[in-house]
Amino acid sequence: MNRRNILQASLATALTAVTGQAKAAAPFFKLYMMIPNNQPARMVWGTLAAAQMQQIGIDVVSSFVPFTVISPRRGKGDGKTHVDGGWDCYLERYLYSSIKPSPYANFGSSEMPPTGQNFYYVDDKEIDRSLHAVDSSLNEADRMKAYQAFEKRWYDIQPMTILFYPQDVVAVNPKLSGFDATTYTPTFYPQPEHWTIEGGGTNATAAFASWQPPSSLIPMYSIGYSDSNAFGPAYNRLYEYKSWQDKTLVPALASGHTMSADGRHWVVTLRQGVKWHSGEEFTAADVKFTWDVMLNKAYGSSLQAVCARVFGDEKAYKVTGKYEITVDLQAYSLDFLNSVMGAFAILPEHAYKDIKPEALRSHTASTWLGTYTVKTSDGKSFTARGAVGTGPWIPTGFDPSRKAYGYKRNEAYWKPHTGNVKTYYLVNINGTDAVLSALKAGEIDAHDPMYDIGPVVSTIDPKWGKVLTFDSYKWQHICYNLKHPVFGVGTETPLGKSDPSRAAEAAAYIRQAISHAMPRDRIVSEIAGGYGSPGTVPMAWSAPEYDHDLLKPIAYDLDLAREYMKKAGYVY
Amino acid sequence: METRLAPPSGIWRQSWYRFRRNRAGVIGLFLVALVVLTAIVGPFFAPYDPNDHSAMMRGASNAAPGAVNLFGTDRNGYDVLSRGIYGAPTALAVGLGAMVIASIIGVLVGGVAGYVGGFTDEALMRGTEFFMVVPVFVVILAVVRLFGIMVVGTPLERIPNLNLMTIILLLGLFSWPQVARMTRAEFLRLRHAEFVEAARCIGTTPREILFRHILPNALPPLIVLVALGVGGAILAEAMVSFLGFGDPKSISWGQMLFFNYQSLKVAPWACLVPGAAIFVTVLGFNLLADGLTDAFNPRVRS
Repeated sequence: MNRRNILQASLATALTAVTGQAKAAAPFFKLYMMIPNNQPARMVWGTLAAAQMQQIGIDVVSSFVPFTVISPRRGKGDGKTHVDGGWDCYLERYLYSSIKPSPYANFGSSEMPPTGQNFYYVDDKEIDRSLHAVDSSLNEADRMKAYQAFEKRWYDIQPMTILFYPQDVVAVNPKLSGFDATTYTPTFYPQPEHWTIEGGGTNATAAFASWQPPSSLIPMYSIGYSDSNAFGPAYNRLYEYKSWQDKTLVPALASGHTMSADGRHWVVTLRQGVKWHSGEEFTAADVKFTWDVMLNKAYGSSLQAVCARVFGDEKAYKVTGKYEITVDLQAYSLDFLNSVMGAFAILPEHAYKDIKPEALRSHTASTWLGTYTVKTSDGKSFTARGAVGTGPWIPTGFDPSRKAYGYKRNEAYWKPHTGNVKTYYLVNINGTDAVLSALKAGEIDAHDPMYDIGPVVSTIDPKWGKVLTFDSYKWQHICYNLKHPVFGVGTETPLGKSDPSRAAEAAAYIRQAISHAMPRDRIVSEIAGGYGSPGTVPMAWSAPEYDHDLLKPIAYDLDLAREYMKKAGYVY
Repeated sequence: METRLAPPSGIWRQSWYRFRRNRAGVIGLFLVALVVLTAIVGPFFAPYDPNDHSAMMRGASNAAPGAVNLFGTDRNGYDVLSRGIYGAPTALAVGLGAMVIASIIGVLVGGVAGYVGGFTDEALMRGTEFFMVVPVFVVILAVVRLFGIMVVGTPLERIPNLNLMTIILLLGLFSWPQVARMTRAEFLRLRHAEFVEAARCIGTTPREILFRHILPNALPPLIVLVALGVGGAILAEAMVSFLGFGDPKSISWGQMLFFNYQSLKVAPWACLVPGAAIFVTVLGFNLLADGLTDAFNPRVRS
C-alpha cells in the first residue's frame, strides 16, 4: 500500500467518522423519533426500533430527549408534525387510568389534547363505536364484545406499535412486609401504611425510590407515575381497589352508591367523620368542588375531557345532603365509577378554593416547597407543607438537597394503619444501578418498577434485596401522530396521492409494516431480561378483557413488512 | 569506550532528541500512535459492521467474549470490539477537531493581545476571562438540546452527525482561552527578544516578525497545551454522551458506556472496552504532552 493509498484510506476513515456511514438507497420518507432519555433500557429498544425501521426504507431521525420535551409537543393539540413544532413518533410506557380498561379516554375522537389524553389523534369510526359501547354498556357481556371489537380493529390498523407488556420487577428490603402492590397510576402508589419493617419497633422510617421528579402534585394535573407516587399517599378517592390481587373497587371516601336501572341516576353517599389534614370535615361540598375544577377549562386539567364526556356540565350533579351527592348523567358511562370516582382524587374545597386557576400549578399545594396557611371553618389555622388531603400520610414538604418528599403518619386517618411506619420519604434516584446500591446500603426500602431491574436481577443478593414480580397492566409502545401526512392520514403516500380515498388505508399499511419490523420476542428476552410478553394491542396482557384467542402474536418478518410498504405504494 | 553524540542543532531536532529520551513521552506517543492507527486502519479489520445488531436477533446480546465475538456483545447486540474500533475515529475527530478550533481562535486572540498590547490586550484578556468562567458543560448540554430543536426541517439537518459536530464546535469554542493566555504570554516574552529586535533593526515587516520569528518560537508550549486539550475534549465528549445527550447516530465510547453501565455487573466487558479505550487515549495524550513539555523546555524538569 503506497503513501497515496494510506492517505486516501485515512481521509475516508476520518470523513466516515465525522459524516457517518453511507446509505444504500434513498429512504421513502423521514420520521422523527423522540426517545425519552430517562431509561437506558427504553433507549436501547428505541435505538433498535429506529434501526429496524431503517431496514424497511424509513429515514428515522432519532433523538434522546427528556419527557419534558415530548409533553409540550404532544399536548398542543394542533396535530402538527415534528418539523412544524409538533411530533411524529415517540416511545412511551402506558396504562389506563383505571384497572378496568377505559380506552375511550385515550383513544376516543372527542378526547384530543389540550384537554384530553388522546395525544395520538386516534380518530377512527370503528374504534369510536366500539369504545362508546365499552363505555356505555350496562351489560358485561355486551361490554366484552365491544372490547373484542376494539381489539380487532386496533389489531387490523395498528394505530400504534405495541411493543410488549412488561412485567413489573421490584426489589425490596427483605425486612419489609406488606409491600403487595406494584405502582399503577393513579390508583396504586406506595402504601407505606401497610408496611412493616422488621425490627423497626413502633416508630419505623421507610423510604421509597421514584426515578423521575414529579411535575405537579395536584392530582387533576397529572396521572403520571412520578406524580402519583408523591401525591397518592396524601389523598383519597371516592372508590379504591381492594388490593392488587383482588382488583375490585371498594368504597373509600364514598360509603356506597345506588344506580338506576338505566345507569343514569346515581346517589353517592359519603363516609362520615373523615377529616382533612387541616382538621376540617370532609363533606359533599368537597366532591362538588373537585368535579367543578376538573370541568372548568380555566384550571387546564388533563382530565377535563373525560369529565366533560361523563358529566356534560356542572348541572349533572348536585349536593343533596352533607354526605350525599346526586348525579344525573346523560348516558351511562363506565368511566364514572372507574375513572371519575375510582381514579381521581378528591380535593379540599376549604384549602384550594381561593387559589386562582392560573396559580394552582405553581402554588405550594402543587410544589410542596415552603408553607401556606389554611383556614378551617372553626376559625383555626393549619400550616400546610404540601397537599391537604384526607389520605394516610401528611406531607412535610420537599427537601431539594435530599431530593426527598417527607410524610408523617396521619394519626386521624379514617382507616387504621396496619404497618409500623411512622415517617416516610419518597426520594428521587436516577438509574438502576444507583437504586440497587441504595437498597443494598439500606437507604431505601422499595422502589418504583420503572427502574427495569429485570436484566440485573441475578446481581441481587437475597441478604439485601427481595425480588417481587407483578403483572404490570401496562404496555410499552411506539406511538405515532396520526395526523401525520404519511403514516397518520396517508395523504402523502404514493397510494394516497394516486387515490386519495385510500390514503388512510396506505397509512395503516405503513404502520403494519413497522409493526412487523419489530422483533418483539427479542426485545423482551434480550433487553427486558425476559420479564414481559410481546405486544399486540393496548390492553393489559393479564386482564380478563384481553382476547388471547383473537390476538395472535405479531410476527417479526421483514419481508412481510416490505410487502406492506409496497402496498402503500413504495417501490424497493 | 562510550561515545556520546552531540545534541543536534535546531529547536525541533533538539526537542525530538530530548523527547526520545523521555520514557513517559515515548509511551504516550506509542499509545497515541496506536489510537491513530486503530482509527485509520481499524475499520478495515473490524469483524462486524458497528451497527450490526444481529447478535440480538440470535439471542446473544450481552454475550461473553468468545470465538464469535472476541470482546463479547453489548446490550444492543453490537459487537463490542467493532464498536470500540469505530469509536476511535470519533474520539480523534472530537479531540483534534475541538483543539484545531481552539488553537485557531486562541492563537489569534492571544497573539494579537500579546503583540499589540495596551487597551487591545486588556480588552481581549477580559473577554478571554469571561469565556473561562462560563460553565462549559452546562452550555454544551443546553446548546446541543436547543440546536437539535432549531435545525429540524432546515438544510442544516442534512449535515450528517450534526450533534457530534455541534459538540466538537462547542468544545473548541470554549477551550481556546487557555491557548490564548499561553500565546499571549509567549508573544509578550518574545516580542522583546534579541532576535526579534534584530529582525526589526534590519527592517523586517511586522507580519514577517510575527509569522517567521515569534510564532514558530511560541509553538512548543502551545503544542503541549493542545496535546493536553485533545485528551480533555475526548473526555468531555464521553461525558456528554454518558449523560444521554450524545449523537444517537455516532459511535462513541461515551455512548457505549452510557448504554451499558447499567449492565456492568452482568456484562462488564461492554463497559470495560470503551472505558479502557478512553483511558488509553487520554493517558496517551497526557503522557505525550508531558514528554513534549520536557522536550521543549528541559529546564522545567531540571
